[in-house]
Amino acid sequence: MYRINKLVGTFLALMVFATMFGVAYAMWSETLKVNVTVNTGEVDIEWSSVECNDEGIDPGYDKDVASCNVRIIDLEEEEAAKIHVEISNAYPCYTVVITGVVDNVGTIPVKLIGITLDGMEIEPCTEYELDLDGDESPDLSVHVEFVDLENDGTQIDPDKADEFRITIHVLQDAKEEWTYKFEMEFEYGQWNEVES
Amino acid sequence: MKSFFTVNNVLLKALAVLVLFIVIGTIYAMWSETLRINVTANTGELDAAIVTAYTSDSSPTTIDHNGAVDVWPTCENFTYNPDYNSWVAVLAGDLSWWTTDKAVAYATTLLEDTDGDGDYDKCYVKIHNAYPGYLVWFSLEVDNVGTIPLFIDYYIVNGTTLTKDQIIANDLVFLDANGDCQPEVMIQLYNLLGDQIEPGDGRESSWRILVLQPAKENSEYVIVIELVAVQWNESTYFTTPGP
Repeated sequence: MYRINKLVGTFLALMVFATMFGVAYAMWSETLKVNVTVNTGEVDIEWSSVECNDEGIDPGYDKDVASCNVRIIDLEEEEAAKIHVEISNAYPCYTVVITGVVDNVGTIPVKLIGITLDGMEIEPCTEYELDLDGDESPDLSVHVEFVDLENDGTQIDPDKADEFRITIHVLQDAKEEWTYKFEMEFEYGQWNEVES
Repeated sequence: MKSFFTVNNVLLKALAVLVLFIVIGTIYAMWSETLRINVTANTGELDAAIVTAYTSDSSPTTIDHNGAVDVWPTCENFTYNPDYNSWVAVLAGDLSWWTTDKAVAYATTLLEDTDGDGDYDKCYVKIHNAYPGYLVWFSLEVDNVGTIPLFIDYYIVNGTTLTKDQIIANDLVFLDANGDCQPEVMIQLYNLLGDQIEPGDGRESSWRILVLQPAKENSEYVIVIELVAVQWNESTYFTTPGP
């Protein structure tokens, strides 16, 4: 008899508990939802053209002696553009101009972070003398100039482009029978993160 | 004589029964009237709706704002929500912002009536072509379109419940999509919580959404924010009136 009473008591207690829970969950509520989706854009630049002005007769002369070869280097990162320059059979005072166009093929405006020449940081509109053969005397002078097509400095908006000109001048201390080559990389970043 | 007496006895009994019937009949013939009380309980409706939602940069031609936070979470600050496969950290801090010179990203809103009750209960905010540093204000107005007063009791951001106390103390919500403890998006939630909204009334709130440096290119980040409205007398903010 006592056992039955205990069973009934437990059952009643459970019922009371369940009722209380039911009351708690009976609270009316409504949930409003806000779904925020952030789709990010892309920083992506590439060369649309790179060419050297020595396509036969040496610029400023009447003979085809030296040659200038420039090629685009494919990079995995899309925020940089790199070229390889090779000057062959050159002589002191030989001068060539490489003209290249950088396109913004991404969706975010970009700005130039910096230029490196064989890993050395260089500034635009500044002339650098390079010792590429290691004889401790300069062989080439290099000058990089930007042509601001959009009148916004080194910034390039999506679907726009900027042009640059690299002037290479062979100096008196250049070695005979020597091929001078170097690589130049232009690194860009999203415009709002690059200080002017 | 004896048989007469027997007959009388029978008559007497019949009379007694008749009298009894008359008495009972009289009782039953008593005028009576029944008063009835019909109790009809018509319940009200708890119904909240998003009536307006807009951003500060809804057009691709609007100049962007950029921003930066003054705090950064560590791995210990994050909580993992498996239902959303997302990590959420809530920190006390503030953000600064400034105007840029370009119109690059923009953010649009869309309202939806998911339960078909004639009002909007879901808002989609879509940020297009975003980039690290992009900041946008998102405003929404929540109205009480039912008949019962209500409170917005708490937010649930990607599965993490945020109460008023948490919002006041820690109002920067960082969201990390890949578990590297480097959040990609931050939301600053202004408080809608704890204000009683009477039927017919509404409250407006403005939130800030900031894309952080670890956000990757060509990616999509989704944040689900739930606003839970409850009947005022069951709310955690309800206080019993004093005597």
